[in-house]
Order: sequence, then structure tokens, then C-alpha cells
Amino acid sequence: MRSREAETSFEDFVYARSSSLLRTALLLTGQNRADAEDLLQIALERAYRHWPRLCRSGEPERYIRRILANASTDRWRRLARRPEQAMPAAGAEPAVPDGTAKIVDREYLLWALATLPPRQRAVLVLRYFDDMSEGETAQVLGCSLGTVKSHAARALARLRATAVPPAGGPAEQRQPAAGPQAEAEVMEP
Amino acid sequence: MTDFEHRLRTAMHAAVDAQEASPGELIRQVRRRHRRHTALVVTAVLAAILAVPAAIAAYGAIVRSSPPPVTHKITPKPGPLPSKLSGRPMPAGTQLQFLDVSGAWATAGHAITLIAGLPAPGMRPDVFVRVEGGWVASSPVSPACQAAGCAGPPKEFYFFADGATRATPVGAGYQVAGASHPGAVWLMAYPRPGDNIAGTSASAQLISTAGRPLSPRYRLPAGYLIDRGVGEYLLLSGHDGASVLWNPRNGPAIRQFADVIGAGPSQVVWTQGCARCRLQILNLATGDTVTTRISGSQVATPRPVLSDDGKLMAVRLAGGPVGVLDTGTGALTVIPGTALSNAAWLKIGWLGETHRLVIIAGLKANSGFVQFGDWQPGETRLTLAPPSNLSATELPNVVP
Repeated sequence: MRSREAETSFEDFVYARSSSLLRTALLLTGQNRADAEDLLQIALERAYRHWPRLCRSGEPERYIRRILANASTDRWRRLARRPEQAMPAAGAEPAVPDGTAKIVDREYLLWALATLPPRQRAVLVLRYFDDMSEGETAQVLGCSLGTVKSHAARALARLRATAVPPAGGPAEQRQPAAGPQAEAEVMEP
Repeated sequence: MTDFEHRLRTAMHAAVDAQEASPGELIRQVRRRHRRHTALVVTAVLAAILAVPAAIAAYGAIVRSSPPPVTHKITPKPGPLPSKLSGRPMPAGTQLQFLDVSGAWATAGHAITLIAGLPAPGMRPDVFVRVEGGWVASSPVSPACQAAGCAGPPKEFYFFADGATRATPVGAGYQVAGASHPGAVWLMAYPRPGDNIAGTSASAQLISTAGRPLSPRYRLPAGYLIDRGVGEYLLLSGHDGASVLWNPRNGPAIRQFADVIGAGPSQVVWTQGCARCRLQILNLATGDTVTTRISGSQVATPRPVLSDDGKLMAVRLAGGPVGVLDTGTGALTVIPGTALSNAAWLKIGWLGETHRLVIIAGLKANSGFVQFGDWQPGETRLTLAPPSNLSATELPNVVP
């Protein structure tokens, strides 16, 4: 039987931290709100099973972020085994019809981020969105510091190369040939 | 951070910062998923049991062959309890030194050494707060504010190490609490003297015992004050009696406790509030929780006292003797000769930072008669100093 205290503590945690976790999940899922909410529910349900122990560890949020990152990778792997769903073709107009150069730049960065292999994306999200150090990121992802560094370097290099708005506008680039699903990657321990 | 990394960070924040979760719905969905998961697990287990009847038979055989469970009960001794401690005589030359309410070190042999640097005499026991390695003293709360529930003017706090004869100023505020490591205390203060302590947020800052700030100033939840630092967290007590474990750096309460019995540098001893609930010991250093065989209703006054390192807790059991609980294992050692009748009062405390327990007892009707007992882990009996004829004032605590 789950104690009333554990229930209250879990509810308090969800009320306090769910928005922050949802934002991380959104970036991990390529800003798909339904997928992000699903991912967050999976992570929170796993945490809920062991909530008293997680509370005692004093770092429930770190554990949940770890589940988010791992569940996100698993999700991409599952998708990679299924027939790929084509992204809806954009119309003649750019996705950001009245966008300034700045918005277009952001749009491309986010698109490029979504095309990264899931582990590389997780490293960038934890490092630059959740403001974690390389050491903290390594702990959350359960890998070595060197792996985090190499993933971050490769991911940033790739973003630099791909996140340049083409002359034809963003719409042309919004339908990548292989999509992010094709690049599910296993992170070395 | 390079310009590109900064652009990436800005882009990510711009994309999702406006997104908010629906916590209520999220909790409902999580519970629904959890029920589904539990149902699946139960179904799988039932299927496994039904599929392997032999396993059930084997299980039954194991259960039948196992010995009946052993139950331990702490039962008070029948008949009237004695009014004096019993034990063997203390070896000659043993000197126990105590903190007297007047702000002086006293020994069982009547010697008194005043502690210099403390505020005016006439202190009461409640102005002394035990911190690792020594004590913090202050002048009492102003009587007017004590009645009205306001903070009152800031008080000066002074630290003196165990056995030291001079106190040094720590700072001014409303209250102090022990930190989870030696050489520091948490100093709490209210913004204004007229603030209602039940509804105002106090500030808290970690201060060295020499008065140097060691942390930023944190704002505590309204109506809560620090009980003591436990691990990386603060154990807060609310005016409504609630206790929570709170992270001063970033977060909400990570855990609530119904009834906290005591706390150490990394331990919280608590029950779920019901009379028959067992004492639980949460160790934040290891993450383990130990359930003891003592229930909350068996804990009698005076309040249990944890050793400075939190590894042992001395507790007077209702209608029975004094026991020492190992907070790591939950094992209870009962000290013979310490069960006293209601006609006697009793105080317990640890000698400074040691694992040496001192028990002081006296007769309520004849308060001049005071006994000093001493016990350490491994000993089977209490050792007793010759009876003293001290003043009628109850001694507040014991330190070397």
C-alpha cells in the first residue's frame, strides 16, 4: 500500500516540476506535444512505482530526466523499426510566413536539432536547455564524461553544418530524406 | 559558451518556454498507467502460479517447515518501579561535566566554572541549542512577543565549544538550528520585530560558529522554521506541527513527516502519527529506511536525544527503562537499572561528541537528591556517581 505521504509528496513534485520536465520532453521529441506528454507520463509512472525510494535518494528529478532521455531514445528506435511516416509536405509558402531572419534561424536550429540522433539531441537539450554541466549530463544519461563531450562536439558540428537556412526557404528543408528516425544511435557506455 | 551555443540555447527556450503542463491531468494519467501496470504484473504472477501447481505445493511445504515468527514485545515490569537508578559505582576519578542553566560547567562533585562572554545570567534551559561540538546560547524571547506570537527584536547568539570557558558571538536573529556538519549553524531571522511568526517567511543563512556567513540568505516557507540541517536538506517544522524536508537551493519540500521524534546530521526519526506506528529511521546518507520495534506511543518524556553523529538515539520507554537505538540497524539496547517510578524525574544526554550516555535522575519530592549515571555501548550496567545534593533546579543537558 502506498502511503499517503508518498502520494502527497509525488503530487507536490508533479505540481512543482512537471512544466519544466514537459519542456525538456518537448525538445527531446522534436516539439511534438502529444509525444512529449506521453513520454513524460511514462517517466513519471516509472518514478511513481519507486517514489519513496526516489525521495530518499534526494534526486527524483535527476532520475526522471534520465528516464525521459532513455525513453526518448527507445521511442526513436521503435519508430525506426516501423514504416516511416512522411512529414506533411509544406505548401509554397514558408512555414514562418512573416518571419524575421532571427526566427528563421531559430526555426532551422530546432529543425536541425530534431534531426539529430536521439542521444546527441539529449546531450544538447540537457546541456544547453536544462543548463547541466557535462558531469551532470553524464550522470543523467548514465554514460562517461568523454561520451558526453564527443556527442556534444559531434552534435554541434552537425548543427552548424545543417542549420543554415537555404535560399529556397525552410519549407524545402522541412522534409528530410531520411528523417530523424533513421539515425537512432546507441550510446556507448 | 560560444555564440552558436548561445543561439541554440535561445532557440530552445524560445520554442518551449511558454509551454505549461497540466499537473492535475498528468497525475490522473500517471495513476491510470500505474493501475494498468499493476494489473498486468498481478495477472502475470497469477498466471505463473496457476501454470505451475508444483511451485505452490513446494511453497506450501516451505511455509509449513519454517519456524513461527518471533515477536519481540517491550513489556513494562510488573509492580512498583524504583525511585532511584541502580548500577555499579563509578570508578574513582571519573569526572562528568554538565552544562548548568546559569551558563556554567558543573560537575557531579559541585565544582562550577563560569563561561565568559555569555549574556546576562538568569538563562533558562530553552536558550541553549545543541550544535555539533558545542552549544549556542541566547537571551530568551521577549515575554510580550512570546505571548503575541511575534518575532520580537533580534537576539544575539553565542557559541561555546564543549568544555570551553569563553563564548564567541555568532550573530543576531530570531533562532538558531544545528547544521549537518560541525563548525556551522543556521541562523534564522524575521524582517521586522512585529512579524507574526505563524504567517511570515523567515530568512535563514548558514553561519560559521565564528560568525562568518557560509551561504546565501534563503527564504523559508511562511510559518516554518529550521529544526536542523539533515544531509543536504533542511528539516523544517511548521507552526501547525508539520515537518518537511526542504532543499534550500532550488526546490519544494521533498518529503513530509507526520511526527518527527528526532533528527541527526543525516537521520530523521519519525512515525506516521498513529499510536501503534513503529519508529522509522530515514538515513539520507545511505537512502535506507529502518523500521524499529518501538512504536510512537512507547516513547516517553524526556524527548529522545541523538548523539552528535546521529548514530545512536537514547530514548526513555513508556513505563520502562532507557534504551539506546542504533539508527543504522534499528537495534535497541535496553539499559538495566534505568526504569524509574513517576516519583522521579530523569534527563538523558550524550557527553559532547562521544557515545557516552549520561542519565540524571532525582526525586520530585526531594529535589536536592540527584543521581548521575553513565553508560557506553558494550556495557551491561550503568555506572553511578555518588549521590549529589545539588540545587533544586533541573539540569538542562549534559556535555563534557
